[in-house]
Amino acid sequence: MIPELSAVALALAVGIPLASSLRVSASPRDNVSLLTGEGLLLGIGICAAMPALLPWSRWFIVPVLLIIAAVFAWRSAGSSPPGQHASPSRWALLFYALALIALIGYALYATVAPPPEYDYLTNWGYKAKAFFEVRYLDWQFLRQATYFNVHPDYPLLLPLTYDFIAILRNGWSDAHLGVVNVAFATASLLVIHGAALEETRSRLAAAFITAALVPFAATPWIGLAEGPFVAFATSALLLIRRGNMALGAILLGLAASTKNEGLALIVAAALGLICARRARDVIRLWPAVAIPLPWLIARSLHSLVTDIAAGGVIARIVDHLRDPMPLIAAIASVSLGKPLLWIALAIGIAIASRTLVTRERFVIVTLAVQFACYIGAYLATPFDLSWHVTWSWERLVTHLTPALTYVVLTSLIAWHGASEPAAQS
Amino acid sequence: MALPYSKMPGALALLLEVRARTKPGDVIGIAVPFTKWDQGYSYLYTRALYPLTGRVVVPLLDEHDRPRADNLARANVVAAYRCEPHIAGFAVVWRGRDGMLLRRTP
Repeated sequence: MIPELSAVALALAVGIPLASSLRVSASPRDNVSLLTGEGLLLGIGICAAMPALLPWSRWFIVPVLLIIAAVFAWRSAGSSPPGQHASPSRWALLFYALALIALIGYALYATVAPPPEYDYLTNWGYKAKAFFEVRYLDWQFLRQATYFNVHPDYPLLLPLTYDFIAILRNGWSDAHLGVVNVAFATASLLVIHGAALEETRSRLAAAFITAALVPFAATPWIGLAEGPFVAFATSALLLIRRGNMALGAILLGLAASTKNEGLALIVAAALGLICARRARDVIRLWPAVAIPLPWLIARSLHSLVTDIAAGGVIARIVDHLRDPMPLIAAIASVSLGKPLLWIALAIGIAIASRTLVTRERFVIVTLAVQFACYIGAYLATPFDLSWHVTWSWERLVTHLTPALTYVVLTSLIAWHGASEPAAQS
Repeated sequence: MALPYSKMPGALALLLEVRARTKPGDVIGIAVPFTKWDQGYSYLYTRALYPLTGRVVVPLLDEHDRPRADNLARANVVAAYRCEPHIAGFAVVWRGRDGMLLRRTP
C-alpha cells in the first residue's frame, strides 16, 4: 500500500500550499480541515495530470511534483499559521468519533480486495491498466475500443490517478486502489467540515454535519468515478456558494475532468449563479471550462464519440417525451434505499423551505438543473431505457444528495437559530 | 479479484494463464460453452478485457447471438473456457483444468 499512501502524501504536499495561495479573505486561513480537504483534491488533480504531461517514470514525475510543491509553499509562505480553536464539546467529540469510525470502516471495506465493480473492469481500471502497459496515453486503444462500456469519450482523471500510483510503484497492482476512494471521501468530508465550521461557527454543528454526510462521501462503488466526482462536485458547489470562486471553479473543472456529468454541472452552476443574482461570478467560472478543455479538444480530434450524442438524438428525445411512462416506470422500479434518509430530507426541506429558497438559491437551482440534465440524458439514450436507468439512476442521485443534504442541514440550523429568540419571546 | 468472475469458477485463473502465454498485440478470441450473448457469453468476454490488457480481445459472438466470423479471422489465439472448440487452422497449445488455449497454425 506504500505507493498508494505515497500518492496521497504527494497530493497533500502539492495541494495544500496551492490551496493556501488560492484562499480568499472570506475564508480564514486557520480553517485547517478546509485547507487540507481542498489541498488533497487539488493535489490529486495535479498528480493525475502528471502522466498526461511527463514521461511515465517516477524519476521524472516525483521530482517535478516536489519542485511544484516547493514553489507553491514558497508562494504561500507568510500566511498565518493555524489558529487556536475552542475545545470541542463532548457531543462534538461524539460526532467526530462517529465520523472517524465510519471512515475507518469504509477504508477497510474499500481496501479489503481489488475493485470488483464491472465498470472498473471494463472502463476505469481497464483504461488505466491499458495505458500503463504501454506507458503512454494510448489514443489508438481508445479509438479502437469495440466494447461500448469502455466509453473512450469519458474523461481520464481517474484512470490517470490509477496510473500515477502505478508509476510510483513502477508496476501495476490493483490490490489497494480502493485507497483512492478513501482519499476522496476524506477530502470531501474535510471540505464539508471546514465549510460548516466557517458557516455555523459551531464545532458541534460542523461535527454533526460531517458525521451525517459520511454515507454520501463514502460511495460504495469502489474503483468507479462516482466517489471522485461527488468529492469534486460537492466541494466545488460548497466553495462557490461561499464566494470562493477560484478554488470552486478549479474543483468544478476537475469534476468535469472526472465524469462527463461534470460538464453539465458547469452549465448548471452558471445558471445557479444567475438565479442567485450573482451573474457577475459566472465569468469567474472560467477555470472550470479551461481545465477540461484540452481533453475535449483531444477527444474531438480523435473522434471519440459520446454514445448519448450518437445520431438521432432529437428523434429519441421526441420519442421518449411522447411516451414518458417507460422512463417513469424505470425510475420508479429502482430502489434508492435509505428510506429514513429521504423522509428526513423531505421533512427538513419542508421545515426550512423558506430559508432554502431565499438563501440557497444557487445550490438548489444548480442541483435542479443538473437533475434535469440527467433526465435529459435518459430521454436521449440510445440504449434500452430500463437497462440504462437500472444501472445508473442510484449512482446519479448520489451526485446530488451531499450538497442538497448539506444546505438542508445548514438551513435547519439557521432556521433554528432564527426561530429560537422568537420562541423565547 | 475473484469476485467478479465468481459465476464462472476457474475463469480468472484461465485468463491469467492465457495472459502469461500470449504477448502484447495478440488478437484473442473468447470461446465459451454458451451460444447466447446475454446468457453467459458476454459475462466472460467483457471480464476478459481487464486481465488481458495489451492484447486485443475480440468476441466470437455478437449481441444478437450471431457468430463473428470476421473476428475469428482476425484472431491468432482463442481462449476457450470449459469447452473444446474445433476451429480449422487452430491447434491446442495448452490445456488446463478449466480451459485451453488454441493458436493459429502457420
